Amino acid sequence: MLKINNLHAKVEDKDILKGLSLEIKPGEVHAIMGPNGSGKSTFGYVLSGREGYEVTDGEIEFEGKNILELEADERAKEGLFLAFQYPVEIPGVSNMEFLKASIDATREYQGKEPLDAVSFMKLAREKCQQVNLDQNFLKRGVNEGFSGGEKKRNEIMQMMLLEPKLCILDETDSGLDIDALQVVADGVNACRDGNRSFIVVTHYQRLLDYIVPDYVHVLSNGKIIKSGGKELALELEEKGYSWIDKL
Amino acid sequence: MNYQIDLQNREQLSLNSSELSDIKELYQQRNDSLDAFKQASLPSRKVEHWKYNDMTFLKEGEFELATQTRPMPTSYPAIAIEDAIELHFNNGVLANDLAALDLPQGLRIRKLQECSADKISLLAKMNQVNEKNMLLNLNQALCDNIIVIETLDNVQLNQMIYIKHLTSDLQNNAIASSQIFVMVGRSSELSILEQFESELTNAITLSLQQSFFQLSENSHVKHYRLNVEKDSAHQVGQVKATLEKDAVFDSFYLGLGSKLNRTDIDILHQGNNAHVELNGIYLPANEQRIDYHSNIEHQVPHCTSNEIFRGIIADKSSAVFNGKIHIFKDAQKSDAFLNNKNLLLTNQAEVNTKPELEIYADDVKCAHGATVAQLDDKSVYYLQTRGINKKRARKMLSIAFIQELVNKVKQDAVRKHLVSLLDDYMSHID
Ligand SMILES: Nc1ncnc2c1ncn2[C@@H]1O[C@H](COP(=O)(O)OP(=O)(O)O)[C@@H](O)[C@H]1O
Ligand SMILES: [Mg+2]
Repeated sequence: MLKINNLHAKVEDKDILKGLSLEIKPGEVHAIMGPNGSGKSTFGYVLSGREGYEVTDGEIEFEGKNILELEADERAKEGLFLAFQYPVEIPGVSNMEFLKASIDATREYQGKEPLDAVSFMKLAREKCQQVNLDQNFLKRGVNEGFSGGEKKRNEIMQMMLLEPKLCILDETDSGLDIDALQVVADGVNACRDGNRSFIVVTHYQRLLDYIVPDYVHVLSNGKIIKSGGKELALELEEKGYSWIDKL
Repeated sequence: MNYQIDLQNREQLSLNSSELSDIKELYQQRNDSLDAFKQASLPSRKVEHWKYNDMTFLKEGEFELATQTRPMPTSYPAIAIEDAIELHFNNGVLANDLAALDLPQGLRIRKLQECSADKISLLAKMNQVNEKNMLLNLNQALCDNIIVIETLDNVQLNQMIYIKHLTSDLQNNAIASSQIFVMVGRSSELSILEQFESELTNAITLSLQQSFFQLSENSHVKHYRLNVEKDSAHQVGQVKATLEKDAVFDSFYLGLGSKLNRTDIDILHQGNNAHVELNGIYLPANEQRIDYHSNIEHQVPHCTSNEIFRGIIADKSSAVFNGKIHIFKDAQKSDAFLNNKNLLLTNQAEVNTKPELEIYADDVKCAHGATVAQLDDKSVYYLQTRGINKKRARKMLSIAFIQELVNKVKQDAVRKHLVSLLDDYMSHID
């Protein structure tokens, strides 16, 4: 599904990713852990095609396609989804209008029939319910005045609507209490269908009790310095991030 | 009767060329306006209040006042307002047969010539010499097309008055000139929509238009002024309103298109407890220039004003917003709010915004602010990661920027019309 080889990227002349390699097969869940500032969010931005994040070396192949030349919206429509660590607030654009535009664009790109307004509403309401968001959220501005947890649930709701092939969850657990964490994890787990793959970026082991990864990678200073099974997360938790400096 | 206005040799102009010059109640004001026009410098970048506008076309010198009245085709979306009372000005000249209009009780529409001396004197007061816009003085001196719209006291008009101003098919260097004077009786209600349209032409044309409103005690006026001219039009206009006790003037502006649109808005609070609501959207694109100068005078105590203007400036266009709030010495307990926000869509787009406060009373509430920003990259990116392409994302964010003002238009038919004008505009910008 995803093959990343020797990825180097910089932002504003600062090298941040320094030779990251990773391969993900359909249905797999990979956790990426690392201390603050190690490049986790940058990795998500580079994958999703954010402007200003320049790839200086290496390749990214998604579903056999080189996606480096694709715009962010094209990558999204190819099936790549990034759930943001800090979703932006967009007052004046209603969640509903936003989701409809998003679904319409995605379905058109994928050659699917457009959803009529009634089916769309039905689907949106259903997904809201699944992540425990009141339907009134559909009428509000995108993330406008949402609490931290509501923003994260809104991200998961969008993921469910768009049915991507690969989901990158950037610290979706940060700022969530246990109940909200459970809702988010249930949402993610409901999306696991054996084909859809996940990259779960997190600072803490806690989330991985809920979303159980097949692999855990440790990112430090822009590179994956250690990979293992889910027990690696526990080891990290126990020994602390200072441990990896000694690796 | 046609007459020439040579802007380079202004001293030769005389009132004799005007049809209305014989009306003695008006004579003095017209003469004063003409004198002021002759003495002022032509608008240019060196003249205060004009410094951001390119008025070099005035150097052409000879202009001719338009006198055409034949109906002309127009390609604009009609506004579907049920039961509207429609007036059409073609190149400044009224095209309707006023006698044939079927008007509701309590409403009268006449040419100025047909009004009584005391009405004409009231209009003369509105035509006071303008200190900052000499082209309005020209209009005040020579305008022959003045329509008076008046209601009696206690009249609630359900029908909207819809005034279409069209400039089209004009000769080169032609000036269209007109005024309307709206007098609203005590405790009466009226809504009025002015739309300015033009055809695209190679000719240099200038349209001068002033709308005066006199709101008697406790009267309510809803007013829309929509400028949707094509890129070749120069429009210089004014809205001036005097408000008596408890009067409410709710006035909405759209500046879309035209090569140059300069609109002066003057609101004079003259009775306690009067309120004005000024809302506007300006959307210059290509190389257009749009300039709103508003001036709200709190002359007496206990009046309120609320003004919000938003601009989106595209391509190589530019905008000016100058919003002045003037609170007189005795105008205690005034409450004035003014906010202007601008969105620049390109690096070549320009805006000059200047909120001005002049406060001479000490017990007042006054807030004002202005911002200039570009579209937020992070928001564009966020929408893109959800499959929405960049162009569409920018459009969504631009519409969001003015949505608050669109929502202020409560009349369904007008809002729908506005939304369709905005959709059309948005589909043409990058
Ligand atoms: N726009 C930027 N300009 C310069 N440096 C940046 C920028 N964005 C992130 N960085 C730096 O890149 C490094 C990685 O940041 P980030 O990817 O956010 O880390 P993480 O998500 O792992 O905490 C940090 O040192 C951060 O300061
Ligand atoms: Mg991060």
